[in-house]
Amino acid sequence: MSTAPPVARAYDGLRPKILQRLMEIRSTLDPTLGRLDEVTAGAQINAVLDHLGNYLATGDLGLHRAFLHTFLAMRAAEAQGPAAVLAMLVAIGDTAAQVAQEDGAGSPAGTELTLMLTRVTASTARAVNDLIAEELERRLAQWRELSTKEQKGLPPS
Amino acid sequence: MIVDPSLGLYVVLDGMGGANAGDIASQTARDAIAEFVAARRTAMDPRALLETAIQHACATVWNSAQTNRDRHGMGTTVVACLVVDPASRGEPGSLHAGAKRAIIAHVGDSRCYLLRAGRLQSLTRDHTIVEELVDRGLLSAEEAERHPYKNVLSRNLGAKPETRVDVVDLELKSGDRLLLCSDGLYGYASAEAIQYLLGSGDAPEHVARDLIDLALRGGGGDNVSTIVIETPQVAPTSTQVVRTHGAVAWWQKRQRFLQVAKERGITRNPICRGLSQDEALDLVALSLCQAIFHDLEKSTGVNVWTFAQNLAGPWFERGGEWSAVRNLIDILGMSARTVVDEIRGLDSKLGFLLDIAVSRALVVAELALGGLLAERLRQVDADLIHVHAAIGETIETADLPDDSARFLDSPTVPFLRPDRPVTSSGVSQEVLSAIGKTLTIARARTSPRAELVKQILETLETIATDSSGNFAAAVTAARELYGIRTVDDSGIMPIFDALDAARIITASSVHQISAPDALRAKVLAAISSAHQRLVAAMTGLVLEAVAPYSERLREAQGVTAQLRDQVARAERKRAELEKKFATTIDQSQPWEKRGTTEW
Amino acid sequence: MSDVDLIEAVSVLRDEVLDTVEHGDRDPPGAEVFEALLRALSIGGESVPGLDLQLHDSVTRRLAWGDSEEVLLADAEMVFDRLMVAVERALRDPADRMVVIEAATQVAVTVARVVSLAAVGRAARDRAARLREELAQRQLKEVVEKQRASIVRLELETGE
Repeated sequence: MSTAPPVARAYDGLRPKILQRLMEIRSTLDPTLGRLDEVTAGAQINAVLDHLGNYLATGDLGLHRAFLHTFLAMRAAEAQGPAAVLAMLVAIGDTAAQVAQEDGAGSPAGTELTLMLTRVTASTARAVNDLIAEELERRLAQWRELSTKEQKGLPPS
Repeated sequence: MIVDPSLGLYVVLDGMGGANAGDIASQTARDAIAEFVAARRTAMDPRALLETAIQHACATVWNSAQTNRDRHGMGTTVVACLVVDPASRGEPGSLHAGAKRAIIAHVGDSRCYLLRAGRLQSLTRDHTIVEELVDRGLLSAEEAERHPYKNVLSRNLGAKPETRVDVVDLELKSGDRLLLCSDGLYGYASAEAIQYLLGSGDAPEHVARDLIDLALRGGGGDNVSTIVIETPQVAPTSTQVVRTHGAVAWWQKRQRFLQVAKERGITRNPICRGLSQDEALDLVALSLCQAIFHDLEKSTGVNVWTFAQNLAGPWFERGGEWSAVRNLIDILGMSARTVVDEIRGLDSKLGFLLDIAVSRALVVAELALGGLLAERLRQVDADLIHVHAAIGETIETADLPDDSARFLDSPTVPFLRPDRPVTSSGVSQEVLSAIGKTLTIARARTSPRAELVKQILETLETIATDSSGNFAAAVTAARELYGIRTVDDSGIMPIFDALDAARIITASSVHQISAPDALRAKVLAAISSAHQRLVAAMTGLVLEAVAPYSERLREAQGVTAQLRDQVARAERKRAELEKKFATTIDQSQPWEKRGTTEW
Repeated sequence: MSDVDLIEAVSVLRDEVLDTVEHGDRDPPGAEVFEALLRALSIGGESVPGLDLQLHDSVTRRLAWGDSEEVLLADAEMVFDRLMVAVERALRDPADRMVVIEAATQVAVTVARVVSLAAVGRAARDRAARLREELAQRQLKEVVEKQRASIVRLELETGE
């Protein structure tokens, strides 16, 4: 597995193009993003790109999961479901990889960055699914507990 | 629908209205548009042609509704695409003739999507009341997403003689695909699934059929209309390499894939329980191998998407755990990586391209699985809400509104104030006497079991003869009748059923008193006014009963907003520290060995 | 007066009963009640599901535009009161007046039913939304804890 410094630097160099492409297609990432003004939408997308850059540099899955946990919870509080959040994050990763592939035009550096971004996207999707599954377990446990109370006709607490 | 390549005209319509009025509306509009465009295609500018054709259809539907009482209220949505070949000076033509421009017009919530470079985007915005409120700045985008009435249309063809038509002019690029569809599709299929199917590379008519099947599997009815229009594509070189050499190289390594999967224990996974070793390899590992092969051939993700859904869907429905699916995908992923590494050993460039393509395939699988997990979460949430409602309990033991509480002396709903003035024309002694006679007859005709109806008839007399000029009599009477009720359909509806029964019996009793018509009309007017006050007061009480639910929701939203601010502040700090940390990391370590997995 | 003539005679009262000032894409307040009255006159005096359905659609549209149930109720009362006055003035035959009054009362009860159902539906939605808020709050509280731990770790790692 290659080391990341050239990849992380290549990513930083490509950031403006990636951001520009994402801003052009932002309504396809998430309907709410399409309605926001450019500055606000750009700030939200940049936050994700910032973190992706850090993850490319650090490879720290723990920090990556922490970011995703926060991201999912904030979007849930805005009534955005986890499937939509997952789709948005994958779309951001896919688009970044696409830009890298176009920009790299078959060069080894370009291919390597494209591959890294694709794997980061896969890792992101897996981490999000783990978080959804954990939340699902918690709510199932809650539902079982309340169902038992309901069946026993216990009074409200 | 209209699919007319010779005209370059493609239209989807979705009718609405009782009985078969919706079908009549959509057919009327369809015929009007087709006729209009055919007659004027060379005489008008294409954009004006399409817009005017739709206006003409709107007027036609409206006129038809006015002349026939059964069709009153009928209407239809429409999304239309007129394809233009600029080289032919505005002559409509098929896309295969080299057309590069599409004009899209719509009214309502039928949509046009564009698939370009693998991304799906909507070219139309639904004409719903909620969208109009967002445009005017009266609702935020966030509020719009969770608005209970977000599907209520603000425009359609037929509600009025004319309407506003939204038009988009689009320059088409190589490889573009357009999808016209009704809400019967997007209401029952996720955007991701639509994206993958649309990008599958299959012929447009097959894709259209697959989309309909997708909607039906998602629980949709038979009211799904789709049209797919495509422009020919020239794929980039790297994509062509993967499609041809990459796919072949992958398929040639399928036995190796199966071997690695077996070595890594795929047959011991709980999902494969009950299957023989060969069956497990065949039905699971080989299926994924084939799915990846077909997706590589066509540069799509639809086959892997379908594989993941078919694998995990029934498993989750049976209560199966995520860990089993996760483990299975890990095994298959590692098997795929082994194969790709071996190919790279023989051909480095092909190997890299294949690595990217196969990694993408695994992303698609995770995406499909995430959709299933999220759907399961949504179902559990609905069950949780249901059981909460059943036992009247909240997570944090906050007090719920007490349904047995007496009404407040100062009502929360201003409409319900007893001192609110009401229109009162005063009644003569003659009318008062006739009111009494009428309601006496009505009570006598009421079944002894209909106790509530009898009570209503008594209160009507009190309200009709009240001369205070305010709402007090109606409110007092309504409270007596309302008593103690649950705030749901079963608690409320018996009251309104009884009010309606009282209305009917009163109306017929008026005709039974010996009096001239003029006096009867005054009696009926007085009793009806009383009736109107009573039902209004009753509704006011219902509004008062539900008010605490809204209040408690607002309180909860306030708490959530505070927590969000707290999280956002901490996140900014964390992000700064993370950025700094990224510059200090030991870069000599391989990427996957840096940092920690704990969090 | 024949049924058709009576409906026509009542239709003419529209401007008098409603505030028909230009409302853009929206109908004037109470228009849905007046339209329901005309439908009730053409149907007859018995309760009919069709009346409920169309009135339900109209009420839903008003609520979607952001009007409260209370405003709808007040508009329905206004229309009823104005109609009583207009009918007294415009229709000479008491039998005709009675037909219109009966239809108006039918509509009043139906409007009240539909608005009450909408309010009860809102209560159920608010209750469910409140539970979702509480679930989201729990998630956010967990995030706060994890963030604290993350920040402590990163401060150690970066020497802050």
